[in-house]
Amino acid sequence: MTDNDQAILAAAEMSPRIARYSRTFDYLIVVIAAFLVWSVTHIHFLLFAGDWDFFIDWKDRQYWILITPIVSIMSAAAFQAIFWTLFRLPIGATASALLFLIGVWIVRYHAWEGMAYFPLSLVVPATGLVGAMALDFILVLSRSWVITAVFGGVIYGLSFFPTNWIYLAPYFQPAEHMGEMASVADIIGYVFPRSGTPEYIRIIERGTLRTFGDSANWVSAFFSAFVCMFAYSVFWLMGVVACTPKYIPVGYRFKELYGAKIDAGAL
Amino acid sequence: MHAILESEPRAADPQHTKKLINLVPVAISWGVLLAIYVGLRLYQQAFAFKYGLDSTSPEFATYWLTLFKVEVPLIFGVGFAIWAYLWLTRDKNLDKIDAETELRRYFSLVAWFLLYTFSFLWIASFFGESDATWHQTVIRDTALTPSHIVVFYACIPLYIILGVSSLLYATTRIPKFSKGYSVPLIMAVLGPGLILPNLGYNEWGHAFWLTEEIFSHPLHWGFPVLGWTGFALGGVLLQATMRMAELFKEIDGANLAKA
Repeated sequence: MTDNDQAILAAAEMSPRIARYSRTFDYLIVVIAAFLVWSVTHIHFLLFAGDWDFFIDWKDRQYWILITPIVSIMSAAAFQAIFWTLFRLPIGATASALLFLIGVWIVRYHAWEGMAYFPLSLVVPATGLVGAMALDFILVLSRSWVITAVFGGVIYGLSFFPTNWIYLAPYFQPAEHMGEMASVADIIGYVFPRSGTPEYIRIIERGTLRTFGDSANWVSAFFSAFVCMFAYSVFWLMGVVACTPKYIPVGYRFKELYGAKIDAGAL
Repeated sequence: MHAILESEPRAADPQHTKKLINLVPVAISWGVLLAIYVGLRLYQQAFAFKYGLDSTSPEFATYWLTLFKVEVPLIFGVGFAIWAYLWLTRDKNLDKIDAETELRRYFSLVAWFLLYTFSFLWIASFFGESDATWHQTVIRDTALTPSHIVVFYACIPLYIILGVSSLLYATTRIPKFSKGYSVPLIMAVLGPGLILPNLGYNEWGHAFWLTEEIFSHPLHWGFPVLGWTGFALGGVLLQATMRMAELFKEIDGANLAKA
């Protein structure tokens, strides 16, 4: 044990043996936290915004840019609240985005391609990793969830579409289709006419990857950034409330059943 | 990693010669769970599209309904046996346990959480989204599809069993949890557990409203809302950490006094 280790143990008033127990507990918590963040982020995203993430041709300038950051910042904010307020760790948002990305790639490979034979190039997932890192960065610098909601929320919403453009750009390469110039996205649209996309809310245009681009992208990104601020705030508070270490008193009868001691005077 | 910690042996007290935490049962349980999940996935790969497209076919009855009829009683049967064991072997002298025993039980509770979160991960991530691959490819004809028979009727019961076992273990073996119901623990166990009854609403909606599977449709929002209660596991870990910090000091103090 180094002098530094000994000084830390002395400051913590811990013996080396107890420090070893404590460290083991830390390791176990890391594994539980990773499973928890991974699973809750994935099920949350899957059923609020999953469709836009499943398919490349659903990645439109209208709803994909708007909905994906709003939904993904919710779990990022809740986990930031848990990690920051309980353990002073500024990693909640990044852990949420990173573990989700790992999980989603495993499913895209094993289920989408492996079971249903979708080519991976048609089911590429999006990522909010850059925005999530910015959220953690702002939180650790400001130490304020309000500042993180205002500035981090805006950055999260605005950064989503530019940072995902990297893998979308190849779908706009020119390609020849029946003697005419089209994009790869156009050809995907010709081959897969999406009768199943939600027409009931698409009034102006039927959003697909084919129409992705132009200033409308930024309109959606700014709207998303605006909503992200509020989504962040609500879910930060939800994370704080969910982790309040409250106990409800157990009645005497059940206390006795559980094996706890009952004070004679209390009966 | 120091996976297994040895308590300092005390000749007069055999209780303290036990390991503080033994991760071998956790590793074995993870192995069993992993074998079940991988086995189910391979079964899907072999028979989902081959015999699972028409619920009226005899092949469907042979390959899928049989699996359904076997897995549901088997999983819940094992679950009830575990719950009964935890209840019947509960400690009826919780006020008399010493600090090391209590600490050991906190580590055991953490081991239960390792199993619970591991099993929840498979439904919330892997098989949950795999269900989307089925629905985006095939229109459902009944509530029993090759995807549902795995995700809803095998994976969900498995994590419910482990979650309720964690709750039972805590309330019957750890003084703090026996004197007061831990709100975050109840949330973290009952919330995800309610995903199973929420299936009733989901299947009713699909039977009478829409057969198409838009995953982000409001009909499905019950699942993630109940999934949010998983956040509360952070509160349980905080409760455990707070008490364990006290126990660490207590054990250190007792050792110092002896020295």
